[in-house]
Amino acid sequence: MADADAMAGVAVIREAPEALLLVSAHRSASGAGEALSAALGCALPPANRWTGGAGVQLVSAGLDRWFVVGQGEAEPALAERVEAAVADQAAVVDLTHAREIFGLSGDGVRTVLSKGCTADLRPASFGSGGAMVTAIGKIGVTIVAHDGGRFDIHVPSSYADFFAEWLETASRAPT
Amino acid sequence: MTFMRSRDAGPPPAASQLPQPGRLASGGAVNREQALAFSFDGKRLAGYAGDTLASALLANGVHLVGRSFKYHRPRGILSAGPEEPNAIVRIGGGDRADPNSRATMAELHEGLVAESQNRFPSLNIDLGAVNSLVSRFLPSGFYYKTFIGPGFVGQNRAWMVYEKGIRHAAGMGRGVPHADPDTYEHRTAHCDVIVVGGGPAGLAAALAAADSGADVILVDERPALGGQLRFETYEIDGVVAPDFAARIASDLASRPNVRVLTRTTAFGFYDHGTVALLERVTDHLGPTAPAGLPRQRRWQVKARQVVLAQGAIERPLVFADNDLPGVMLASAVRRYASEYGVAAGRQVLVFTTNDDGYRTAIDLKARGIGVVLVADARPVPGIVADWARGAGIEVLAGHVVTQATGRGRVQGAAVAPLAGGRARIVACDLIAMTGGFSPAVHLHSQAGGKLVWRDEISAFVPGRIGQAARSAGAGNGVFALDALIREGAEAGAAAAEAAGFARRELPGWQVADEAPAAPAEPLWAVALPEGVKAKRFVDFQNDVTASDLGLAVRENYRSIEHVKRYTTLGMGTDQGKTSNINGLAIVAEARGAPIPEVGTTTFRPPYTPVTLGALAGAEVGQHHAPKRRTPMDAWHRANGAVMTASGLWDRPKTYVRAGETYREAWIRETLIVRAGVGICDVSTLGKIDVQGPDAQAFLDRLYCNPMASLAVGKARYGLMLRDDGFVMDDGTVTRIAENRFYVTTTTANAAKVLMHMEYLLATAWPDMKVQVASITDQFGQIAVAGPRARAVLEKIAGRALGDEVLPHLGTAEAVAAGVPVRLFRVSYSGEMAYEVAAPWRGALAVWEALVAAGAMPYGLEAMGAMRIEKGHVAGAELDGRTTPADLRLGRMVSAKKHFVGKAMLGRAGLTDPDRLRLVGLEPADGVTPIPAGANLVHDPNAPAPMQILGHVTSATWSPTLRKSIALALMRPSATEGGRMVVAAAPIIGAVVPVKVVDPVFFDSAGERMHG
Repeated sequence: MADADAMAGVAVIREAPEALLLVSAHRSASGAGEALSAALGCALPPANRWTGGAGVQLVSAGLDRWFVVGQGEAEPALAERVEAAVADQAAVVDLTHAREIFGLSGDGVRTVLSKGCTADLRPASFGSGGAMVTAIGKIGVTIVAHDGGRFDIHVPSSYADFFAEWLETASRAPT
Repeated sequence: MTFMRSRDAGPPPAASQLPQPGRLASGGAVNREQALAFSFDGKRLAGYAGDTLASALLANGVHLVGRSFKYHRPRGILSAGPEEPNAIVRIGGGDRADPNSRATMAELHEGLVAESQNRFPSLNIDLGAVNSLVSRFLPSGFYYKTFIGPGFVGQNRAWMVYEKGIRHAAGMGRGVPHADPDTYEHRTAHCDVIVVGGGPAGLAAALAAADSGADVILVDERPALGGQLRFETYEIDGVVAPDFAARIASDLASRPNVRVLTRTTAFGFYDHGTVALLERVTDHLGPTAPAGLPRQRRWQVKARQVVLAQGAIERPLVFADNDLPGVMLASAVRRYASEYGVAAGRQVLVFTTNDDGYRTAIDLKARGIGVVLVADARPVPGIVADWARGAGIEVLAGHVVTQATGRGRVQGAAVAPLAGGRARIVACDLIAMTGGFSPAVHLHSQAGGKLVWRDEISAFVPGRIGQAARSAGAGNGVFALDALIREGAEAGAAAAEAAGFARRELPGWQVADEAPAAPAEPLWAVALPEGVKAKRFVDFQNDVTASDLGLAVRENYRSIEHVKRYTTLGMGTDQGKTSNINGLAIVAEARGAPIPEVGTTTFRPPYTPVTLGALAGAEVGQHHAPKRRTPMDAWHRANGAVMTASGLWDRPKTYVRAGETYREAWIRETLIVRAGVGICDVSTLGKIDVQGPDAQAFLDRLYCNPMASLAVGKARYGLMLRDDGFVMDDGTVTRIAENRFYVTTTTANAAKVLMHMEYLLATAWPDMKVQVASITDQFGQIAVAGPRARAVLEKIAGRALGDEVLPHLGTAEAVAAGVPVRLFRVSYSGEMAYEVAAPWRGALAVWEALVAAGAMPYGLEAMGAMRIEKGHVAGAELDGRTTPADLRLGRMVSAKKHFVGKAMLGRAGLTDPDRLRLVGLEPADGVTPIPAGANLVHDPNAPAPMQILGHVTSATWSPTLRKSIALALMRPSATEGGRMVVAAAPIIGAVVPVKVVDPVFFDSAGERMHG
């Protein structure tokens, strides 16, 4: 499901995630985060950051909550592994079908995003390794920042078509 | 209208051929190589690239540009900036017309079309001028004093006549009755320091902040940076001011940590360093604007530190007939000459209370413009008076202009000693007046900053402010150039330092030779000469005179806020930029109070008018809200669905086949569901995952019916109340596993229920180990309903689904069309029914398999008809005013446990037996449709007000029963003694006698869902 659309200064690839889980610890300092980190082989990310392991991203999604984004591993296996790791300490919700991931790259990306997102997107504030749960227009999204000015935008599936239209309009004008 | 008759056969002369009698032979920053043709009131004129509309009009000797708001007096250009109150014109035509535009800020482009406003039939011959003749009946607040009218002719008769006339006259300009064809954009920018104002103080501040490494945004409303430097003649660092400004501008533009926004107005300063900007992207380009650009951008800037360097606005002087075309602000006259190469007049009289007026006199003289006199109200002027005399200019100290004379245009000025005495008329064609400068404190005040009155400069300056902001330069009451530059640099460096950047060496610009300024002396109003009946204007845009202010004080309006609203001082589109201070000073004198005691009115955004388009940005038309689509959305549209908006979603109402009407379609669907099997896309329902060791206890507290006994693999209807006992939502709760629940809500309340859950877990029960998450987008959901529902599901699931596998209110997993699905056996239609939850991206395959297996799609119309037939409540009944008992669901309410809403449910008002209660209705004649929303009464012809017995909530034609039916909320006492009830809707002229019946019209034993 990968579409590559090149608009003025912004390239977009639209994909379905292989696996995407929301893990929410029932209590702070319950050990759920550490268990999750150990099971995935990624360091536990601090607030508004993400870390990577083998075929997986661990994204901070708020206080004691994380998204686990799997690339390559079949979805049920990852979910089972995560559920086993956190046991009773956290809730695990499968959102693999509930999101589409828009991969953005190009010189114009931060400018295009600033047409709908009011967060601080300057490179010094939001560079590689950054993650934020925010809104673009009126759509709640998660933005994950990679090297080289590439960004993944996680968009709820029912909003994905509208978001694609928004992106196309926002990238169209010369920035 | 000017009559243009072309006697020649040839084309009109090229722009470069048209004469510009007011243009100086040389000088100005305009591009004399590029002449531009434009029109004003139908007359074709020429200007140069770089002109504003105002400078081009003055270059053509056009002074009459409008008629005043109330008295329709002829008016001319007063200023050279955004404070302009008179030159308010309509620019452009058709759907791009812009009424109430300031000619002083509109950049000239080829083909610009401008029209004067507020005059009929023409600027020269305006019937509205009759208002001037009856002006003694039109003082401030006259509309409060019109006769209401004698009672015997009926309520307010006379006023009803005046009102139409007053309303018609009350607007300024004509609206544009077309859709806006332009696009607009929003942008957000974050920075360390924002500097508002690109004059000398702002440039110094931006440079100092940028030098320290901070991220800087510099904003100026004009096309080029420089502010007053663009028209002054002194030298900085050995370079004449305009060139110096250009040099600094290009330095700033080259820095990667500086963003310069010109043609951009900072119109609002809000909380937490939030500054709103309006950038005019293409307005100045006219027809050559590139297609892909937005017309304007509304920026939202979040700055850690704000530097306000907006400068000061010149004050007019208040004397008789000071509104004649040809009376202008002195620094504006200087600006037109220096920056635009335009002589606004050839015989100029300067009337001043401060040294700056002399700068105008000397500059104009040096450019070959005649300066007949400088009248200085101060008895002892400063050294600048000697310089003026040395340049051959006559100076009269201690003298004032008491009246401007001339017909429709300045032809002379009456000059008299300030102390009193005979006036002599001095011939002139322009009066350049300056009453001093008021710091522009608007943004500071908007952000909650206090103002402090400084007597020595007769001005309010910024005081304390509770935000990370500081003011510098003329906007802070510092007028000497080298002082304001130093203050600006210091402010920029301090701001950067406060944002965490070490300060570097400040820019040290050398200003050549400034004379020490002699103090200005305030002159708030020049007394009317003896025996002269004339108006002395304070607010030009709203025609408020000095005597209006005196009248307000005599009528006992003490507070400046009341005086403002009573006289409309400062309430025009210029927001009183040239009138506020003069006005409040006159009020202070009339009240005998010091000016600081009178105070100013509150400044509110926007600083200058902002188009609605810029505020809306791209969120217009189809994009005003996001659109959500289900996985089957394209299938619905391709198969004849008539879609409707349901919140943010689009949902099918019915699927119209060839040869079918809309009504026939949904009737067909209803009958097929009841006789066979139908499928409905219910993916829009809210779905929430509730997980944790305390999940069941949490749900038990949340719903009014028992949840503690819900076993794994079972589903239950849930009724959720608000704190106050009223029903909030209904849905289902299914226990998937020991500590895991799948909760559904209505489409409309999905977000509300999730927020309700999160709120309770965060505030009321933070110790509960429960997590909630929206899974609405994780699953598409399909209702399969009808006597053949089970058979069709068994076919696609390839397994038996009898009662032992999937009983009523049970749940089971299966695989359909290769997709793992969860089945729920719940019924909304009253038929045997299931809901199938499939992962979002697999849902379409399941839907298509069901269709292939013989299920027929049905939409909201059929669904609505069926649920009304069964007396099931929906949004119309869950209107936030109904309790479970009102809806005949009282038996669901647990008597034993605690739940949200329990305490308030026991209030006397909610247990009153005669509360509105759910009933069914049928028309008495069996045929007439009952309108939803109709009120229930005994006799619609009884005198109003009459007792309302209830109202109709939902209504439909019942395909199953072949009659009109309705659900309503009605007081039980309404039918006591067999009284008849009538459904009446006077607005649509409907009167329908009804029979009150049981709301469950069909299958009252509820047997059909068991198959």
